[in-house]
Amino acid sequence: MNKKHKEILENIRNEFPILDQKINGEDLVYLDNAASTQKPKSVINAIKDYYENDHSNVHRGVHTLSVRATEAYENARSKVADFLNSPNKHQIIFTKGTTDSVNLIASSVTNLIQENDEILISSMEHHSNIVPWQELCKRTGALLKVIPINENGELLIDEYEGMVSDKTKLVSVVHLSNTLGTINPIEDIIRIAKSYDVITMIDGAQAAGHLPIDVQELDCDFYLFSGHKIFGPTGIGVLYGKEEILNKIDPYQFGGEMILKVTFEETTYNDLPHKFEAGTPNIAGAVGIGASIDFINNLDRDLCHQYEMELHDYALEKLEEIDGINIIGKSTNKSAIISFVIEGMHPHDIGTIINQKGIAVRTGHHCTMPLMDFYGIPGTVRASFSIYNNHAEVDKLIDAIKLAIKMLK
Amino acid sequence: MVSKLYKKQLIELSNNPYNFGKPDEIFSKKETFNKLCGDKITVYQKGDPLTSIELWFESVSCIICSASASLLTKNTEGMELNNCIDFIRNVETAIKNGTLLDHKFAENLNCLDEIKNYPSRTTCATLPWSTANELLK
Repeated sequence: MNKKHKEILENIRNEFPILDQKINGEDLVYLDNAASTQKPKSVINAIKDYYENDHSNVHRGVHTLSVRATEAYENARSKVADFLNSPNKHQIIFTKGTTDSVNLIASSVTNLIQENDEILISSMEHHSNIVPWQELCKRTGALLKVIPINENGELLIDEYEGMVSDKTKLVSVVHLSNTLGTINPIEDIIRIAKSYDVITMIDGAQAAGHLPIDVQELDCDFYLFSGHKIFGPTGIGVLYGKEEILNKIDPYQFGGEMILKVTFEETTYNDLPHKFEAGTPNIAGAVGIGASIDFINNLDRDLCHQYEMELHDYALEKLEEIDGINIIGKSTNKSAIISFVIEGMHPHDIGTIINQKGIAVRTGHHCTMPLMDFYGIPGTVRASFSIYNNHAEVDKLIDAIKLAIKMLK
Repeated sequence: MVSKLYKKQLIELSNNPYNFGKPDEIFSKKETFNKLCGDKITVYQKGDPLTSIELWFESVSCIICSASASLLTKNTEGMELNNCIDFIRNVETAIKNGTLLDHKFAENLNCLDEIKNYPSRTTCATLPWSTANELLK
């Protein structure tokens, strides 16, 4: 990495005011980015500016503030559409987050699923991509099947291919595993599913902030992600859907905004995207996610990805030098997430001790309990990197882990 | 300081827990999970609790939880049932409220006092006691 690139990355770090603080008397080292990224000034200011200058309720208002708020909200939708290369903006539904998006689909496709139909998910799914499908299966009598993985944390694509059949109605797979860092071959997963005319849903919660996404090239039916993992606010998420299927499935929630006409006898639903956005939406959240997309678009994404992986490789090399550490997730295609366990030590104890040194990592099962069962462990310590982290922070992490091991032995 | 939490006594209790494992005779048992992290603990009452309390435990848990469980089994051994239930409830409440040192509990319980400065870990310390309460009540 040359001097100019280093300067660019240092400037990026300065955009995140929260990082400039002490925790327990030590500089904050924030390595919990897979749980939630921090927010740049531009996102914070966009939300502040919206509330200070433009806030009102959206749609149907004739006064100036309502027009401004509507423009801000719909402008954010256009930014999301461009971000995903959606053919048009009405295929972008704003939700509360990825979990809400999965629930929307799992509820809305009920009318397309029958008894003994099969839903496929993978062994590395987040609980939010397991439980909604279990509930759908309970309602419909459909069967939930799980695509296996190997010890490295890679999907067994050949086994998956053998599982897809005429009975399969929907495949829902994570793009980038929050626990393992594995980047799944979703192009192959979608292609195989399409050969059986199966609905495909990709959980992009982790991927959207790290990888370029082109939903038209992927040809998936649904792609979802959250604002707070791409430098945006919490409480706002995105569901992209193909127009044909969005028109075919039922609304998830009912009320204002999602209707064209209401009488006491019957209701006519609104057009896309409003059919799926009942009630007053999270307007400030949409403004925030729009600002976070602007922020990402202004980055050199190749440089950022290269840098994050450099940090990952550096941390991995240092971690592997420590006796008793076992890395969980060794896929050949992965992102800047490292999960590990230390022989004889519980992740929570490690996490508590290194927090004393100002280091924020996530410990536990990361909402992937079946995956923990697969590895026969209660949880892991997970360090997840973002563009504002640096090599000195990795060194602090390593020193703190060595201290924790010494303390707990 | 985190070293006040991870005292030698606590680590020693976790490494060599008292009445750890499944007893040869099980009168009753209760399994619970730590909602925060998914850790699991099973508390067993060996014989008839109306005769005498003898608790055992198995867990997949952190140092704080297993040390706390060890203190539970040690301090309740031989107690009369109703006294034991009162004691367990009082200790659980004291851990939650950070008032362990205000009571005249056995001195070995004092090593759990520092948990009051780590609110995200309180459940780790209380889980064995709440499980035992569920088992015996």
